[in-house]
Amino acid sequence: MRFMFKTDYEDDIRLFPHSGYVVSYGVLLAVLALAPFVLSSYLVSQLVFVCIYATVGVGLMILTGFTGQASLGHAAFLAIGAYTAAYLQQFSVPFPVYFLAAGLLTGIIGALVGFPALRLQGIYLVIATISFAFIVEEILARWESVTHGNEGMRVKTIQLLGTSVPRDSPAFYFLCLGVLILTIVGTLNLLRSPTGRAFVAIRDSETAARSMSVNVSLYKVKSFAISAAITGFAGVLFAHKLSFISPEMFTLQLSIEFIIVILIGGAFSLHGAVLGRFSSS
Amino acid sequence: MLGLKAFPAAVLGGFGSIPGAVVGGVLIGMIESMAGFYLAEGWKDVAPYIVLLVVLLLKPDGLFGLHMRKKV
Repeated sequence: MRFMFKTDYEDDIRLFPHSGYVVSYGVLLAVLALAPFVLSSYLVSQLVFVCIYATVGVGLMILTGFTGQASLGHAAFLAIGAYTAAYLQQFSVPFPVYFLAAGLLTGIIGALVGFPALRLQGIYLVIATISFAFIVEEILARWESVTHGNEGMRVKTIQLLGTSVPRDSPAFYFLCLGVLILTIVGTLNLLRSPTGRAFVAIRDSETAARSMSVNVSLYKVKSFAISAAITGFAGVLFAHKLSFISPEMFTLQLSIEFIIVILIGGAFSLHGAVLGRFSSS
Repeated sequence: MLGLKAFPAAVLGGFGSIPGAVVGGVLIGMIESMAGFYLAEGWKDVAPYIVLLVVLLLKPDGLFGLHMRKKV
């Protein structure tokens, strides 16, 4: 443990507090980059799931860990992302477009869920998000013209830059890893911005945050939207990895699993979101 | 699955209120059966949750819940 003497604000918000971080993360990145060429295909497949779940974990961490709003409805956001991808793919929409569209749509729905959640706290919020997840699950099972109901939907291979990315290829692993790293870096940047500080202020005390002129409603809705959008992105990868999606995959159990992921890892750190997924797989 | 209906019942009536839990339980049960009878198939399972969301929107502490003041 190195003693850190901070002399100004720049020291406090630096992404890598000292050179040791650069070295250790560099080594980790190198190991992860070599993994698909060394490990068996089964283990690489597990690593892909780790990446996808960790992405959801980071998204949920923004909402639950940093804004203090519990959610047991994240399986529904994952489902919306996955189904958007599967639906748009039928019309041969290119991958980057439906990837972004899925995130955007999930983000908008997340914001819509955030509005009623503004007045709810604690157990009431948990039950409201569970209700939302149940309703989404039922809609997916009944809206057969779009989702094919309980028959489920096939998801074709990703076509990216003219080449196809099969779901068990190293390229798919790197895609998931890339999305995870982008999400983590984005979240770290978010957390050291005024928005992130406002989230943490709301978590610590809503009344105190309000008296410091933090617009609590606005930031809660923002937190819901960002968290949902990240989960939606993960949903696209999830759909491609499984190559088949149906409503019964996105049950309450999956939402609980996401909560377990972030609780095992520790509810207030991003390392936790990723490590929690490793230990629960 | 039954426990998952009990939670909404308690929350609908207001967490921490025993009469609320009774009223919530009766309401959830009635809504579920009525929806199964009068509405199209598929509504039965979601109707209690839709009603729950609407109630929570209008009364965030449930029907009989007491609003707790929070100290800072």
